[in-house]
Amino acid sequence: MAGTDPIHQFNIYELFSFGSVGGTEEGGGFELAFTNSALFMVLAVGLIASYLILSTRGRGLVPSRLQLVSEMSYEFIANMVRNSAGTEGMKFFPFVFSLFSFILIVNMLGMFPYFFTVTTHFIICAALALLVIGIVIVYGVMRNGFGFLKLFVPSGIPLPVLFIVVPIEVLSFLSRPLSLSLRLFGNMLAGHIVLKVFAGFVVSLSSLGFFGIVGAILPLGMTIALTGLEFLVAGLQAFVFTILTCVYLNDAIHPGH
Amino acid sequence: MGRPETGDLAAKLGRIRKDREAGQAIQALRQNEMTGAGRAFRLASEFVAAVIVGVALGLALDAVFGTRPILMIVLLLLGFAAGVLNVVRAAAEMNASAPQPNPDDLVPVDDDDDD
Repeated sequence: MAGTDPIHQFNIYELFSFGSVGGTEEGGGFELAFTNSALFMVLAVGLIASYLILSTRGRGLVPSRLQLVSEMSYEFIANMVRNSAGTEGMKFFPFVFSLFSFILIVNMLGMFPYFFTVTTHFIICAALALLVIGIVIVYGVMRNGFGFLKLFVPSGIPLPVLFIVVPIEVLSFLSRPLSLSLRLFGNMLAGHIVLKVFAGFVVSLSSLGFFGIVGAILPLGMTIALTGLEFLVAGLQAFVFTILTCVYLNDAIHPGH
Repeated sequence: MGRPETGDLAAKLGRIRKDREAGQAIQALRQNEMTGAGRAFRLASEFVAAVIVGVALGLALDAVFGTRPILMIVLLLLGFAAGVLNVVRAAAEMNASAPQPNPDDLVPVDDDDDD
C-alpha cells in the first residue's frame, strides 16, 4: 500500500540528469542528477531571495507589511548573533541569516502535502553542520593561531588532570556537528513519520465500515494536533540550529572558557 | 497642528510602547514554556552524539593500530564523560538564559491552618 506507507515520502528520485562523472565499469562513478530534493532546495532559495528582494524594493521609511517581515527577520537574527557572539560576530551575519532562512523555509515547505522535506535526509543536515564546524575551525585558527587550542584546555586546572580533561574536551568538540545534525534530522524525520502513520490510520480504519469511520475520528484529531506541533518543531529546530551556530562561532572568536 | 496634539501623540506613543513591552514579555514567557520538548531533545542529542563519536573514533583508531577493542573501550568511556560535560554545559546555558524566578514564588507557602 503505497498510499499509507510512512517511509514512501522520503524517496529521492531523479528528475533529470546532467550525465555521470568518472567510473569505467557499469555502475561505477556517480551520476550528477537533479533530484526532487534538489528541486526543493532550489525552490527554497528562490523563495527566500525573491521575497527579500521584492519586499525591500520599496525601501519605504515607513515599511509596508511585507517589508516589515523582512526587517523583523533581520532584527531577529542580528540580535541573536549580537547576544551570543558579540558585535564581532556580526561578520558572520550573512552566513547565519542564510542558514536560518534556508532551514526554516525548507522545513516549512515540507509541511505542504505531497512536498518533499529536504531536512529529513541526514546527509543534508550533516553537510550544514559540517559547514558550521568547518567555519568555526578555519576562522578560529585564522584569528587565534595556536590560541584556538585553548578551547580544549580549561584554565585553572592542574597539569595531571589535564591528561584526562583535554581528551574529553576534544571529544566534546567533535560531537558538536553530530549532535547539531542529529537533532535537526531526528526531529524532522520522526515528526513526518508520526504524522503519516496517524493519517494512515484514518484511511485504513475508514475502510472498515461505519464503526471504522467513527473510530477514525481519534487518529484524525491526533493528525490535526500533530500538524500544529510539526509547524512548531519546524520553526523551533531552525531556531535551535542557528542559535547553536552563534554559540559555536563565539567559541571561534573567543576561545578559552 | 499645535502643541496639544504633540502632547497627545507623546502620550499615545508611551501607551503603545508599554503595550509592546508587555507583548514581548508574554512572548518570551510562551517561548520558554513551548520549548520543553525541544530542550529535552537537545540534552538527549548532546549526550548521545558524544558517545557515538567516542565509539566511532575508537573503532577507527583500533583499525589503524590493530588494538581492537582496547581503544574503543577507552574512547567509549571518554565519550561518556564528554557527553555528561555537554549536557552540563547545555543545562547551564539554558539556566542562564531562563528568566529570573519571582522571589515570592521561592518562599514556601504555609498551607496548614494548625497555628
